Amino acid sequence: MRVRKKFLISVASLVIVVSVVIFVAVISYNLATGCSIAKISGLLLQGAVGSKHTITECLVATTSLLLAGLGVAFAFKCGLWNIGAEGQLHMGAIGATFIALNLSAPAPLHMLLIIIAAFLAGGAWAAIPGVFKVKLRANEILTTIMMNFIAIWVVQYLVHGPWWDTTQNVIRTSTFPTSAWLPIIVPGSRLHAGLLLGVACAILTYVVFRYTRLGYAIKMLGANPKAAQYGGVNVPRTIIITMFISGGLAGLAGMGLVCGIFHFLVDSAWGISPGFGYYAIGAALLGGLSAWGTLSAAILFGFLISAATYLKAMLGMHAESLYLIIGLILLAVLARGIFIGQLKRLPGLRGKE
Amino acid sequence: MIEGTGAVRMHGISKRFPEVIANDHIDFDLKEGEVHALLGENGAGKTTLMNILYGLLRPDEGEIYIYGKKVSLHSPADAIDCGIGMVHQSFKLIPSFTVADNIALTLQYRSEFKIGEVKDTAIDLMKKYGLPPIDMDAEMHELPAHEQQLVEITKMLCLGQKILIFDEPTSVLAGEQIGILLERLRMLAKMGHSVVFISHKLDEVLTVSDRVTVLRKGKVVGSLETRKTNRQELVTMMVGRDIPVLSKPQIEKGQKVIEVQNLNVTSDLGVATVKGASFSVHKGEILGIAGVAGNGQVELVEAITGIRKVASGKVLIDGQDVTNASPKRIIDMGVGYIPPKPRETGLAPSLSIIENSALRDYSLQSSNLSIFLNLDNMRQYAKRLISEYNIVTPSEDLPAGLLSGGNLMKLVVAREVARKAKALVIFDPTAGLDVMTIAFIHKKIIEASENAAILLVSTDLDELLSLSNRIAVIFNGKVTEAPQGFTREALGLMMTGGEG
Repeated sequence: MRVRKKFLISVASLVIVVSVVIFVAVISYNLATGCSIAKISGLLLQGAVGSKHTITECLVATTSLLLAGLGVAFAFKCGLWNIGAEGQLHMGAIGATFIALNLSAPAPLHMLLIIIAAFLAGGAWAAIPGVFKVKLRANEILTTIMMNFIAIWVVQYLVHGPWWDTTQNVIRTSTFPTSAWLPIIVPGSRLHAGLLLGVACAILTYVVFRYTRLGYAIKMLGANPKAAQYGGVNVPRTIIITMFISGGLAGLAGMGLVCGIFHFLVDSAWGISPGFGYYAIGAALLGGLSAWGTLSAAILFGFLISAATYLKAMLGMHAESLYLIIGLILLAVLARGIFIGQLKRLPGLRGKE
Repeated sequence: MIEGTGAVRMHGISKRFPEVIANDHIDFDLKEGEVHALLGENGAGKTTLMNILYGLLRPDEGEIYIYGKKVSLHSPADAIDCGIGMVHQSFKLIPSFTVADNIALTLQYRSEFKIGEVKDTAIDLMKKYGLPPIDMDAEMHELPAHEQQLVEITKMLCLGQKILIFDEPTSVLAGEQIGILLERLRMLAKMGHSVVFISHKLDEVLTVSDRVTVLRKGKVVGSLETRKTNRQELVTMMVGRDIPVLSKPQIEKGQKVIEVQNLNVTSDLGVATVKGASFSVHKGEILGIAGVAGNGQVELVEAITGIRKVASGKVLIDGQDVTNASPKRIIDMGVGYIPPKPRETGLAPSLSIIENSALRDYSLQSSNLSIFLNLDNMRQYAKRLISEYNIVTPSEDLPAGLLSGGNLMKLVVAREVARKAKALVIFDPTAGLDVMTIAFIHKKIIEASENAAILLVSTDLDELLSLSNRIAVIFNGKVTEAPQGFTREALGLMMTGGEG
């Protein structure tokens, strides 16, 4: 049937794109380092899934990408080009840090309040461009990008100013009380409960889009704004709510970083995020904006990031080269439409439409 | 006329689209230095013919001669090389560029122009033609519509185009600017240009043209010298001679459901497009509103359905004031709306048929407070619509966009009618559909009218005459009810600005 064929073409093209890019990467490492292709492939695999350590490291990266990616998917589904996940992630980290340092409560309650604060902070930060869009027709692509810089500089201001713990060697806040630490879920690793939160959010996202009226309104607005208005969707309200949820999810990613990994907020020279908010856009797009797709893409990107760190250690290569691969994959995925068009033209697949 | 004379000769031009013949063996010729009006109702084939001349469409049959030379126009670039220029209904200008930039952009077709000289060239030319000066450094979006149009004209003059096509150029203008434009067209002809003026407004055609060619349903009805004809004759040529009989007699009026009082609405451009419209529709009747496209129909319909804000006046449903209420409130009041071109407003093509079936009801599902959709109900509902309306699809899970045009429209009609709305607003429900589907949709509209008040706005006169109990005409934003025992010609006159 037509739909299944379309789906197959779509999946096949994804697999082909990703494999081709990784293959190209391996070849270019081979040329650059003189190592054999087999050895590089082996290292890549080892770096990704070779040991408990690399697997958990991969999933640590996955956690941030997943939460921020779900946020991006939420907004994109609504036709809102929220490029501000990075800023919203930083605001979430600020919200989490504020509650972590200024409130004391027993562990589960403290953690719950931190999660809520991070969600609210990231959400509010994203709702601002939403309001601008509704009231002033400001293009959300521009406003969300610009607010990324503001958010990062707010972090800088806080850690250099009011929140600076001068007893520390680096410019950062005090360490959080342990009640504000996300529990480690694999002993001896850095993998924290943020991953579980991410999976829970993925399930929730799936439920929202599959079963709820809000998800329906968001999808309709994204698919055809005129039809949504015609169907009685309150367009301004839906835009603001969607931006809020989108930013809230990215905020949770920031919370995961400060409460799960760092346990403090730190100067950007260290940085809590190497651009997870931007990779998240890639993960969401690669995942076709679906919850499960985003989860799979976040795992793939997690592997690549983890493998990058490993290759750097083993071959003395720059980790950036694998970030380059992620960039290539994104580019290829975005250009996939053309590729699918080519596939459809193959005689075997043409069939009767 | 001898071959080889005149600016343009189009011979035996035919263009077929999947469900309609837009041009059927059309002959058209344009002499040097004349204004030639192309007159006809919407869908008569005027724009198609001119798009063929401008290289935007390829004819299925026929030949085109420019200054006696046979040409093959594959693209607008070919047409431009032949000296043809076109001012489209929607301007082809870049809003953030200055006037000079926009002109320079066009001149890339003529290498002898230098970017730095564009301003001087344009200013000189405008002086030569007696056109009012325009600020060459103003950004396009700062200029009013008539000045943007002037830039379009200047662009063509700078290119040196001799054959100028104006596609309904007065539709974007207001008041005195229309007269000024018509004078400019005369002036262009006097300066040796050959002008094609596409219009469906009789007054303008009679004022400006030397000759007029009337098209109707893709065919040439006749080509006349303007001074030898009159309004009456042209109207008859446009709409036909037969005297219509409303298929449904005037019925006893039920209760008043839709009422519009002294309604004023403005367009997106801020122009007043509905001017003091007042009418009411009663339960059990269909009020047809005839009119040529662009006379305020879109704004009227959107104001009633809550999609567009009302400037002044009132909209009442069942006696309750719903002026400027949200679309949702108006849906909840039981007003259905069948918009034209389902892909644009009525549906989200990328979502499934199930999801699209629920579009108007998702907010009503079980209760307004429930968070969840009732997926089983939605599926059953979609299946019901599909079977009751013979919508051809292998599955209700398919994206609606995969349906054919006729099936898409059936889905929209099904959805709106199935809600048992007390009022239905319907706008051009059958444009571009095949005969079978049209008949089916008409049947469903008549069935629905038994229990609802229906406002049917259409640019298809035949459709209105076969469905309506009463007919009104919208012209230039004003709605006037047709008198008892009107003739088709009288309607035609009212639709084109005559006294009727």
